[in-house]
Order: sequence, then structure tokens, then C-alpha cells
Amino acid sequence: MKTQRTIGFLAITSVAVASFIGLFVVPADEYQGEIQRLLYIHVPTAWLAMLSFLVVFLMSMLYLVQRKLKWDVLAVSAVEIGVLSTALTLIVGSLYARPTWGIWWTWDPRLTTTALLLIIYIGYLIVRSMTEDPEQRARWAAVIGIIGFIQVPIVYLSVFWWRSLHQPPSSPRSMAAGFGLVLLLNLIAYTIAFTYLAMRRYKLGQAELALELAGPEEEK
Amino acid sequence: MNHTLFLIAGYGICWIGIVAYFSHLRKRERHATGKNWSCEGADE
Repeated sequence: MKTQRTIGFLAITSVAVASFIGLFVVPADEYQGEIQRLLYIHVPTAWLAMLSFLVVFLMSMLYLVQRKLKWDVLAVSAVEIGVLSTALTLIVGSLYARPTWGIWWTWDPRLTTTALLLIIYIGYLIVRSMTEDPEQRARWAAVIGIIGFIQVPIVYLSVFWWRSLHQPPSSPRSMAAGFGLVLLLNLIAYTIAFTYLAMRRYKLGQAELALELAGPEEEK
Repeated sequence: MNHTLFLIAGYGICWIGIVAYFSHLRKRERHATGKNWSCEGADE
């Protein structure tokens, strides 16, 4: 509990500091101007989406091998974090696109594959809600968690495979030193924040599962 | 168009999204705690 609180405090502090630096300290980009500051949330949310779905893939594999429901709880916790991150990536990306590309949305390969990624994992959550048997639910979800992961490298490589309006992936190494450092700071801050959320979601999942396994008498 | 508005919208939606998900978790936690805050059986 104390560790969780410490991470929670660290999450709020680091996001506040990183956002302040990204918004007010680092200078605006020479070509894109102030709007480039959206990159400091767009890239971290995209990175967290990919990381979450990698965790889902690994936990799904572990579940199918060991058949322990704790792996399924971890997988669904990561899916919720991934869905939130992907949705935020698309929304912030759309707000970034309007002033830079002149459009809110286009059926560009990167945008389209990312939207498909979101649909796949929303589907994962819908499928879970279709059965009340924890074992069957975990089995179905694990299969989707493994097959759905194929979409992650497709999203990442889409800007290289097809002619895309979207720029190649931005990272602290691909940017000028000062901007790269601020991006790295935001990446760390949002990773801590989403890790905190994932930890709470996992604990909640365990508690809900314990209630479910205890049967209807306990649920009254 | 004013870039500041887009910045406010972008950061605002991002933070609201995170806080809304956190509130959703808290609500579910309270619901689960009201029933039985026990993790026994989860690893089986």
C-alpha cells in the first residue's frame, strides 16, 4: 500500500514537472511553433499503448501455458491502460494534425492501423463481457491478446512500409538534444503515471476475481 | 487558428482522460471493498 502511494505521488509530481517544462520552459519549435508541444504527450501515450499491448501478449502466453488466472487479470489490466493510451494518442494526434496538416483525420496508414488497433482491443473487452465463466473468459481473451498483438508491429512499421503523411517515429534520440531530453522526461513521467494506474487496476481485478470465485453468496 | 487552444485541448483531454479512468477505478474499488476486499483465490 505504501509503495502504491509513493508511486502515486511520484506520478503526479513527475507529470506536473514534465508538463511544466514541456509547456513553459523548452522553446517552441522553429517550424511548427507552439503546437509542437503536443508531441510531449502524443509520443508518450503512443509508447504506452505499444508497451501495454506487449504486456497483454506476454501475459496471454503465460496464461495459456500455466492456466493461472492472475495472468489474465494482469492482461486485462494492461488492455484497459492500452485502450486509454491509444484513444488519447488518436485524439491528441488529431488535435496535432489540424494545425500542421490542415485536417482532423485522414485515412493515412499510421492513423488507420492505430484506429484498427483500438478497435481490436475494445473487441477484447467486449468478448470478455460475453461470458461469466472466468476460465473460458481468460482463454478467449488470451487468444485475442496473442493474435491482436500482430497489429502492434504493423502500426509501428506502417510509416516505413507505406507512403505516409505521418512522420517516422519520434524518439529522444531522433530530436535535438534539448527537445529530446524533455520528451524523455515526459516519457518517464507518463510511464510512471500509467504504471500506477495499472497497479491499481490489477489489485482491483484480483479483488473482483476473488469475489467472483467465492460465488453468488459473497456477492450479495 | 490559435495554437494555444489546441494545446489546452490536447493537454486537457489527456489529463481529464487519466483522471476519469482513475475515478472509475476508485468507484469500482469502493464497490468491491463494500462486498469483500480479499484477494484470496485470485492466484488459483
